Amino acid sequence: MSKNIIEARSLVKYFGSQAVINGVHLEIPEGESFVVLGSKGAGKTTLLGLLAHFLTPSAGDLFIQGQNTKVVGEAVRKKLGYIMDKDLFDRQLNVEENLWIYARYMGLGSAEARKRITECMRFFEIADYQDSSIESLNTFEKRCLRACRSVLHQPKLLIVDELLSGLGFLEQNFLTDRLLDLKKQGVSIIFSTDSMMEADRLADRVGIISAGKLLLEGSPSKIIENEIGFEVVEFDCREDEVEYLVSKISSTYEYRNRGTKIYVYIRSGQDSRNVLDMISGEEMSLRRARLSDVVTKLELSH
Amino acid sequence: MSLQAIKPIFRLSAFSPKAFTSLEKNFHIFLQRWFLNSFEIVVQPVLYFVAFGFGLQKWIGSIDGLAYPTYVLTGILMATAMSTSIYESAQGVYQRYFIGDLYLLLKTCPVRFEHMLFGEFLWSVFRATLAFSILLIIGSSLDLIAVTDFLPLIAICIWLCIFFASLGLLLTSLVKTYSQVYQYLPLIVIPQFLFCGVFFPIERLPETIAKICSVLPVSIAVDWARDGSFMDNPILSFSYVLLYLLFSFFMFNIASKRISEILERNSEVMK
Repeated sequence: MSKNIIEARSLVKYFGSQAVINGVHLEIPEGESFVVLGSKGAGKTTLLGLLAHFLTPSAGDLFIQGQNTKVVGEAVRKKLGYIMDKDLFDRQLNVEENLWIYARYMGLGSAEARKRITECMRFFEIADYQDSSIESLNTFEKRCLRACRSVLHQPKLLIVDELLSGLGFLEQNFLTDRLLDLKKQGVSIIFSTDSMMEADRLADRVGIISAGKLLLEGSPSKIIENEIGFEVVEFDCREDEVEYLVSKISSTYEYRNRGTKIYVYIRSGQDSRNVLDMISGEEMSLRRARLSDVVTKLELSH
Repeated sequence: MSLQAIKPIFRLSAFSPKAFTSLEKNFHIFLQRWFLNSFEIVVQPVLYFVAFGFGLQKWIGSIDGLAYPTYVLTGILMATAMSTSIYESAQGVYQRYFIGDLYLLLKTCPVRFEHMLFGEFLWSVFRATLAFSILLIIGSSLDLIAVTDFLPLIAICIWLCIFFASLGLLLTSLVKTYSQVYQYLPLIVIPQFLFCGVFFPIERLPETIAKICSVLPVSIAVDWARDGSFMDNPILSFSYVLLYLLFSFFMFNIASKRISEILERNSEVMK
């Protein structure tokens, strides 16, 4: 049986009187990559902050490599790398110096820090920028630097918050490849993203969070199959048609609607052509079900 | 005050080797522009020394058997120790921890804010001692201070810096805005600069003010530095040393706890 790299039990986080994370249970085995999906404001960043022992839970327990973070305290952060969704760099220091100071904060000795900085800069292909100022880096280079910094101390667990958002396709691909390389080296990864394509590439399992609750957990294909089926018909109709069309569809198919936009979920054994007949004349699309449909469905269910 | 409330001021948890990382970082940044930074920290005291020491020498001649430039230089040395250490621990710490969100990065590392603040405290003492030492070398090159006096003078400087670095941190822990941090200047630095025997003996002041000033750390340090009077009354001298070190310890602990709590609170609402 594989050991869990991280285990959260009934994690709760209040900001004021609002429960931003509400009773999250999570177990991630060593070597697994787990992707947290959810819409903006669902609680992804807060959950990752809690799992990284960056935020203090209002209630519940967190175990990293079997150690209770309440007992171990800040020392547990040496076991994990946390890529926050912010560019936190000391602008008085250049790229290499930023890495150097962080390595020292992480408790690396001088020689080890030098060695790891060289290795990690090569790994993320930023060695050419070692003497550059932070200001001279573009968004992608800064993301690479963030990622590079987080693995200097060779953590067994990497928690990655929105590293890819706003990047181009090739840049997202590059960073996803690097994360997959780390995974091959045995690093467990917890990753939050809006990009479903990268989620598909990275995830052994996904967790879908909404309003601070982890609603679903499992392999991407299982979740899609269970929640959506295998196809989705998506169409827009006139406002006065919504009620009529919904009444026609709902007797046979599961659906959700956002105003005049209607999503019809086709389960295995059901025929999408029947839906197409029902809504003939409307502008619509028929496609394979994907993770984003699960997120949309959950959002529209609440 | 409950025992629970008093407990934090006796804690030793901030005193960790991890503090040296914060010292290392500040030192590294200082070294990047070492010449300019060294120039920056001594230019003001040198200007005061030249203007008052040499400018007024003709009229004043000597005080307490010391040529006026020597008299002023020893005073300015102690005032520099005070102002540099309090500047770093008040304004410097506020800039590094309360402006921007770089402090958040520390929360991804196996360190505590308390450790980092102890590092800031050490840096304040170090930087002030560095400024003091440069001035000593200048004084010595002008034959105003004997090289043999360097060690005792540096010891007095460190004692003074420990007190003012702690006081600066305490001030930082109490203020709410950047403009409030500056108040260490009119509240602490300028009064001691003017009334603690830097330019003239405090006995010339009205009796009550003189009595108050005589127990302030800069006055005590200036006295010890000028006439080597530390061993004239060793019990009293050691009492002052211990008393102010004890004050410093309490101030540092209270400040460290308060600042850590504020930073923890701020980082909890990072979004």
